[in-house]
Amino acid sequence: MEGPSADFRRLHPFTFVHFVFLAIVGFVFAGVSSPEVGANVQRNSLIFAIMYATLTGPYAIAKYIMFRYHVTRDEIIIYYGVFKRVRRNIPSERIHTVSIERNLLARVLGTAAVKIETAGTGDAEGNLSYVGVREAERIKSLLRTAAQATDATGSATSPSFFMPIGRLLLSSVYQFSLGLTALLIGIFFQLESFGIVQSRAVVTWLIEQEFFRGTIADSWPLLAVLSLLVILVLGWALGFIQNLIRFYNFQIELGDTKIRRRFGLITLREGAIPYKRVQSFLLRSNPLMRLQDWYRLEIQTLGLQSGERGFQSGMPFAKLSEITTFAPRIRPFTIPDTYSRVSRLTIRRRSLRYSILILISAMAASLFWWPPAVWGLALLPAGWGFAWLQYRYHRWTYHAGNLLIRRRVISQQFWIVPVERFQAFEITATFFQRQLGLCTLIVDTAGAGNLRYPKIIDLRRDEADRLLAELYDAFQTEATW
Amino acid sequence: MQILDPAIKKVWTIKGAIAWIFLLPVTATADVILLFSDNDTFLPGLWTGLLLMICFVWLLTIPRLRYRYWRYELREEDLYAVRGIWNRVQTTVPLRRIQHLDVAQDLIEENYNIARLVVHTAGTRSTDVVVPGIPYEEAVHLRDTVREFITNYMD
Repeated sequence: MEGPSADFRRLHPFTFVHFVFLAIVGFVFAGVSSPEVGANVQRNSLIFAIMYATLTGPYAIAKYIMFRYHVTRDEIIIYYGVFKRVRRNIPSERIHTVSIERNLLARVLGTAAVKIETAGTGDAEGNLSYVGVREAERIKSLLRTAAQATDATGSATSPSFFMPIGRLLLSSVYQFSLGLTALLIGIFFQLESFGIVQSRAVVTWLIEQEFFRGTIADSWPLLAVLSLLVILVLGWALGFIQNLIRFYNFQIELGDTKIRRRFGLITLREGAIPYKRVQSFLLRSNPLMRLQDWYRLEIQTLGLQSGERGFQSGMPFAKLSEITTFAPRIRPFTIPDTYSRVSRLTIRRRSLRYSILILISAMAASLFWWPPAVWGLALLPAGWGFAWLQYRYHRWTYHAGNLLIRRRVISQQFWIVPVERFQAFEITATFFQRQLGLCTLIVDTAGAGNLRYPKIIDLRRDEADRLLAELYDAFQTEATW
Repeated sequence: MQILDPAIKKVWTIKGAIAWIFLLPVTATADVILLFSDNDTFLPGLWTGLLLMICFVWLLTIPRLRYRYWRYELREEDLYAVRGIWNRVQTTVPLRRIQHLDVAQDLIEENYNIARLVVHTAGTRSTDVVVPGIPYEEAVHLRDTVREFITNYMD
């Protein structure tokens, strides 16, 4: 294979600093999350660190030396690989997205990661981590210019959506992060095992206060309520911070062929999504947001960032009227006034499911807490009520070439799926659904999550067949290769 | 609608038996430990016996039921498949959405001269639609028919 010529460039030398930083974070995390405590952890972490540096250090150096790239107006060529040499040519006309990402360390070091994506794969096909900031801009400018030259329509931008700090703060108020809370609590317990924090002392102090007046055993319901409050407040605070950091300075511009986005406080994300990669729109909200008519628009795309599972933030916090003005410019749609409901039998099926779950849970709990576990049966009416709410909020319609589905009560989803984006059609029916003459209609699209995809649950069987036939006919007319 | 080749029942039975065999060392170890402990509650060999009984019932019923409910049809513009014992699934894959096709065959299937037609789409749920238990020549024929459709459609 022909080797790289003198025109080829290496990555920024500070790439090593990123490598070392990641390694240090890994060691600290391994040490903190280790079930062992004390000197053993320190000794094992040190041994692990030395082994890791010995094994991966020379490989990282070799990888850096062997990695070269060259950008022209026509293509980007990348040479990489230590044991297996690879030359990758990515022609400019195939490039869909050139994004620049700068996390906090990259900003301190004056570096940036350039990610080049084509239509072929979900992941970045070219990843230059890391180059200097000016070099990143040069690469992006070169490839963008080349892509524009092949694209007769150009990429003139039109009025954009920008999230001012006031709206960002307001949007953060509605966020809650259970995952981060769990992580923080896990770290807290590890720190406690090291003796750095002492929760037992805090609890003892609390119990000694007048408020509790008793021992831990007497005050456990109050402690449980207090713990729940702490978790709720912590989850809300972390959700607030996470949202603030993620969507800081969010701006989006609609070009003729691409959506350009730029956002982030610690990691600055900048990139473009071609319209032809947009598969569907998903509007998300919760009861509190809906009270004030706030929604979050997500754009389901073919691949792109695997970390976002095919869903890109379009408008992190916007009024419905703003979304219905903005999003149809990417792919036309209108929001109709009338929707069809699913079968009322869904209430019966869901109620039965919740009743079985509650009964089994109560029976299991009664083995340990008899007779208080019997109070768990009081949840039965709540389960039936929730089943009724699920029926009430689940609606669908096929309108102007789009399948629109609204479902879920608390974390509500509103799908807008263009018929020409369908990949496959599925009707599923569980044993219980079959007894009630019901089924679930699923339309498969590219880039949806394994748990998040458009479906209509508990349609009458004849209605599902009729809708499937209608959708399939529309698909045959609308869909291109 | 086409039914699968009856040989698929034997293939599923053999594959099922292989999968169950992997659990055997676990139950056997548990029984040996119980045998040499002061245990009065459980009969010696209870867990292995229970496993063998479940395995026997599973192998006797599941492959037959799966076979009974599997149907497929290559229609003019799509591939249609129905399957499932508890959860009945009916999939329609438009041929124009097929990214690529495979005819796959492992050693057991080869022994019975049957194959799987694997249809790949860009979708998330139906990324791979697998039609098992098709006679090998028929699977190759199906693959070629679909390929021809795709080629004609692209032209």
